[in-house]
Amino acid sequence: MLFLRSRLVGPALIWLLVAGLLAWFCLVRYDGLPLDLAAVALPLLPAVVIGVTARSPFGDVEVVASRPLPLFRVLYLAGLLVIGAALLISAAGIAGVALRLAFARTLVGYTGLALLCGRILGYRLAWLAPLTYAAVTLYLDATSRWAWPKQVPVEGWSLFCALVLGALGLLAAAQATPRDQPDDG
Amino acid sequence: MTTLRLFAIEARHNAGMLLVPVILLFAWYMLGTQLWEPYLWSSTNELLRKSVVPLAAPAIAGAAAWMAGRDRRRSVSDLLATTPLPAAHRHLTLLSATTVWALVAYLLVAGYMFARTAPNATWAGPELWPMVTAIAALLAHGAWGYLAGYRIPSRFTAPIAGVVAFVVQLYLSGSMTVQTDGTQISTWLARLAVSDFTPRVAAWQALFYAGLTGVALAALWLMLRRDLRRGLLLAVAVTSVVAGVVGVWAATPRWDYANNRVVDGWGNTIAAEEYIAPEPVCDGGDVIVCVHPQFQPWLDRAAADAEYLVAPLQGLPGITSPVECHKIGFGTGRNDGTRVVVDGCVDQLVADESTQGQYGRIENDAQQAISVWMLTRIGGHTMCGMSVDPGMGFPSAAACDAGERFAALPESDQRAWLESHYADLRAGKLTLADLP
Repeated sequence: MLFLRSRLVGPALIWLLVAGLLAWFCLVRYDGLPLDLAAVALPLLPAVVIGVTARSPFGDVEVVASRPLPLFRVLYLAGLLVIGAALLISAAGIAGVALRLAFARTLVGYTGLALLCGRILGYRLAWLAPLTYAAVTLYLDATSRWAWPKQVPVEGWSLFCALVLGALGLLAAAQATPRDQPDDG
Repeated sequence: MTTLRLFAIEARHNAGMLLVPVILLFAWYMLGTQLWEPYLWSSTNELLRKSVVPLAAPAIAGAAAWMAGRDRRRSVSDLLATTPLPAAHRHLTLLSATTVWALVAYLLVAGYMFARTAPNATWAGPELWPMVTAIAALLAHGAWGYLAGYRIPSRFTAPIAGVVAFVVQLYLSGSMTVQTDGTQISTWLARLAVSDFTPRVAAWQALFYAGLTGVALAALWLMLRRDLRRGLLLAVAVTSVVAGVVGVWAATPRWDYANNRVVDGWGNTIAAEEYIAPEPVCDGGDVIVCVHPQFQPWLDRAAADAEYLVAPLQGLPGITSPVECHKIGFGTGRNDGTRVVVDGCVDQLVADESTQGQYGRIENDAQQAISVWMLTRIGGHTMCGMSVDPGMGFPSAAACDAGERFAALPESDQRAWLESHYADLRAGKLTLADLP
């Protein structure tokens, strides 16, 4: 319980819910919203929320914990990821937009980027990588291999990229105690 | 002096500093992707609007939100409250020290682009209003991010401020409406985005962002202590925002279908500005190429290309001396680089004006075959092998084959055929069966 509270899981769940509602609102309100644009922008909020919750306020103290925390960290982040994806998928389903898998894919990829960025720059800055990648993707041709977040319908390559990033991100967040030094600056 | 020292300390220990390399990398990437042409002010001005702010604005909003919560994170708020420096002063210094990094990144990109363009461009100059707007927009994003971070000191504030700023910019720049004829056009909201620029709305855009900055600062100031002066400042700032929005709305031209005219938001007719084309610049000897003065840096090469294009026809009846090439174009591509394109000159060489179709298109197969040969000679785009609609002036497969056969002939045979058939070719009297 302390583990979850220390990572602000309550507010994180609320923000994931807000992100799902926002996605639903955007999809319903704007009929002409281009699908690729929606696939790039709407999973950004849940991804950065999950990214910043990876930070632990205990830092090095967690190294001496009696329980295997890497497993907890992975389960916790994967759980948030599943909830975030389910909310986005529900939003797309209710709005009747064929973006269910695209939302889930992009969310997994962005979250992986956020966790990797958090591992390097500190988890308070975890949002920078997905935000930058989303900004770059907007100007990429959809056929580019780098434009996996905007490729609709979801195909093998974009799914592969997202899953690899997601797996690497989870691995990075699980392996190490999040650094507090640079991000508290 | 104290302020400057504090500013220097805050700037050195600031999250904004981390953003500079990210913003610069993004700008460098954008300039490459969007095919920046550093010899053209039009390209430089447009890409300066599009290559920094889309990332720098949301990123600085997030960084400012993060920095605003720093004192509370470190539990030194109470301690700092006992210092003689006014709290507003302290916050303003921290906000400036954060935002300055986004401005530094923007000015570095602008300086680099201007330094590349200024010595080489031959026409027009830098647009300064979009720069004012971009700087005002960066300040506004920083101020609102800071306000959010101060008001809601949570680890979620920074990322959410960044994402919200990103989505709002995206929404503004992509704001479209469907017209009665089914086409989509930008709404007046799109004019609020930094990436959009027209001289009519530029000052209003800048006022809007300056007002937003003022609102955030005044609100922050009011949160620290409530008094009439701060309230008045907030009122002035809100008025600026409203004036900016109304100004942009009103200055955006729209089409009045009932009266067939362009009007502003108040219904006043916008008079069409008279376009005065600048005096073209020309170059060449036997073949003259004239272009808009902004394309002068590529004129020498274009004249050489045109000379080479016309070379096999020199001396034939109907070829005047000098030949002035028409249909000159401009192209920039990842593979070809930037150049003045003389491919269109072929049309006037192989076909009399009277034989050309709509928009000067060549419709005769024999003429198209010879044009394919001539374009192949200079490495131009023949449009052969592309799936294009027939009848649009593009060569048919048979004409492409005939052109390739002609290209394979010895030069003496080509010249002999041209000497005997060139006049008929131009008159549109030949068919593919007449080609060797």
